[in-house]
Amino acid sequence: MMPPFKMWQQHPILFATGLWVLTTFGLVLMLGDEGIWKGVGFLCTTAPFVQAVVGYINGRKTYR
Amino acid sequence: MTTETLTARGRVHASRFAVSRTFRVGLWLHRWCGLVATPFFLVLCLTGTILIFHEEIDEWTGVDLPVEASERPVRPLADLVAAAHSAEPGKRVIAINLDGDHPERVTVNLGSPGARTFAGAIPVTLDARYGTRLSRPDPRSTVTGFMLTLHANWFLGLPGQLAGGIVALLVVVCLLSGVVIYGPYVRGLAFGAIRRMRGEPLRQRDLHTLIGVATLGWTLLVSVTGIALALGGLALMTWQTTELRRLATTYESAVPGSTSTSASIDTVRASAEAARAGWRATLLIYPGTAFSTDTHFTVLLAGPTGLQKRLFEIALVDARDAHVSEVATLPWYLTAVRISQPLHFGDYGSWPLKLLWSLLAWSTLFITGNGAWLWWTRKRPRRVRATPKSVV
Repeated sequence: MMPPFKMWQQHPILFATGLWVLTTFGLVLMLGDEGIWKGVGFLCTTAPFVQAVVGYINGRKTYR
Repeated sequence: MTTETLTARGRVHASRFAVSRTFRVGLWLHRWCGLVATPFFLVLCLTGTILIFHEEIDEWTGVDLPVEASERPVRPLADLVAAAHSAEPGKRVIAINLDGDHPERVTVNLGSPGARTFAGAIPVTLDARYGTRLSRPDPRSTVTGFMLTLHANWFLGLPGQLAGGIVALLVVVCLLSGVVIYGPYVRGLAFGAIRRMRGEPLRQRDLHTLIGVATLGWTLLVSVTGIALALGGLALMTWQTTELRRLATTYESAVPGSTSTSASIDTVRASAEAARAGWRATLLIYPGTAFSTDTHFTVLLAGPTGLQKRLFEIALVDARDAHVSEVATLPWYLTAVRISQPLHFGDYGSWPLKLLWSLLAWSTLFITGNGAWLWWTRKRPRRVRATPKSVV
């Protein structure tokens, strides 16, 4: 789940923008009536937060 | 290319950017927009979190009592209007709300004989099957009503609403400038890195950048939709003075000031719904108000599915013969306000979305607080105290 280190290192702002787009896309997708859109939208919306939690857990041993 | 090389190059690039004018302007905007918005944003986040659960709170506090289940069909609207009149004699009907989720509940808004707006109107909620009045308090006097007013306009009406929009605008500027200055703070670190053993300020700054980037999309969306909702009052006024005035001048009665309503309210509803197959009436505004003409009902029709459910079409129905004069779509600015509503309140994904909304709101609240703390405890340039020259 860790983002590719090279990409993250070279384009942190682009990466942040990507997470923002993902959340917005997910929330808009959830406006649909169908259960599938609600599910996919919810996953997209929560992805940045999950990514942050996983990044935090992975970084605990490396960074003190 | 090794990771170390990349890290070193990143640091060099970051240190160059960190002294640039763009960075300094971004930092200034991020800091001051954030600090000015903090106290107001705190209130908005707290009241917003409570409002996420307004349905549950209303149910727990007995405001929104479930109506007894019954197979009995709903009564005609004309009967319900008569029942509302008998409950509040001497008042005139301004509008009728039809709840799509609870068709057994109908709210008739009654005002004083000369009233043209909803200000001071008495909402009478009726059980549509029996025509009996449901004992519901005025939504404005409930806990959630209080919170909504505080959240939406700070009890200051339109000026308060616009002030809320300015706070949201400050938050948007703070977020966008945060993205601009984000790079130098995280270069050389893995995503999610929190340096815990190198002092509290550094740990808090890492938390600020990590939680900030994870909640960026949500906070930006909620702030932008907040601005749109804050402008909702102005948008409605614009619609009244442009589109509604056009409709009024096109279809106005030959006898100015006459508000004859010879057509039955049920026929008016049926005509409006027949004009757009599948769409249902949600609000019927009587003639002679600020939102209708003197001879026409304004009927708001909600779409059948998906996004259409959240949008309206406006049917102008002649009060004399229930003829539909025109069905107008919402102008783009009112469409933007309508779509902003669910995206701001997060009330369209049941419990999982409500919990996520609360989590994101509290995370945002945390970084707002810790940002202020970082500013407060920042290293200030030490002033060199001028030492008095020794007198020889």
